[in-house]
Amino acid sequence: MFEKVAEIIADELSVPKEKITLESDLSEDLGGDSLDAVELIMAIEEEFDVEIADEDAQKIKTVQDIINLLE
Amino acid sequence: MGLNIEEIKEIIPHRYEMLLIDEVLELEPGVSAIAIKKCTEDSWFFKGHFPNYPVTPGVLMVEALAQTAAVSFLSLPENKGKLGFFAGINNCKFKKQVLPGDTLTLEIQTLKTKGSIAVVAAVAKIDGKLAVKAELTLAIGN
Repeated sequence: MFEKVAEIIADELSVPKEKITLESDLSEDLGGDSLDAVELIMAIEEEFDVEIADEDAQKIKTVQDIINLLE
Repeated sequence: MGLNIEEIKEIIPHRYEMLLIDEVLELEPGVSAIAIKKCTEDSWFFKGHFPNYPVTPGVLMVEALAQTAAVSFLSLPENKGKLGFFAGINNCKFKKQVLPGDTLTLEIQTLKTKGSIAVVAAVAKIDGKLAVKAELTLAIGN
């Protein structure tokens, strides 16, 4: 799960995959802005065939938060 | 359902010289749209692009596609009076030179939306032949 999510994040935020850990903060550590966040959520929804509600999406700060939502 | 130029102007705020669609042939709000743009010989952009070889600027065709998408999204009741902003242009390719007298058919299809962000697949064709294709990300705002 982490591997796949990290791959998507690396792709969407144009950061090296090695830089991504569970604790990484999407904006502070990985430099994502609000538009990146929306595109990231869209890519994750597509890859995992899930629907992430806007209120859940807004609470996402770290990579762990994404994985918690998916599990 | 089609729209003439006056009806287009009620939905999107663009005006001469930046209103780059002439007519909407088909419209399904928030889902898809087909518009046309006639690149007539007297178009303002041919004068300087280029003086001895008039060809429609690629960026203006991408803009025309974005305006087609804007018509689709801003015709949703909840988006009435809002603006569409470019948030991304991905996988854009220009396949054919568009010359004076050509008529572009601009087609957009929504791929996904999330909150105020929409991603659309966009293609522009001349006589059924592909001229431009791109994936456009639009932010709908005030």
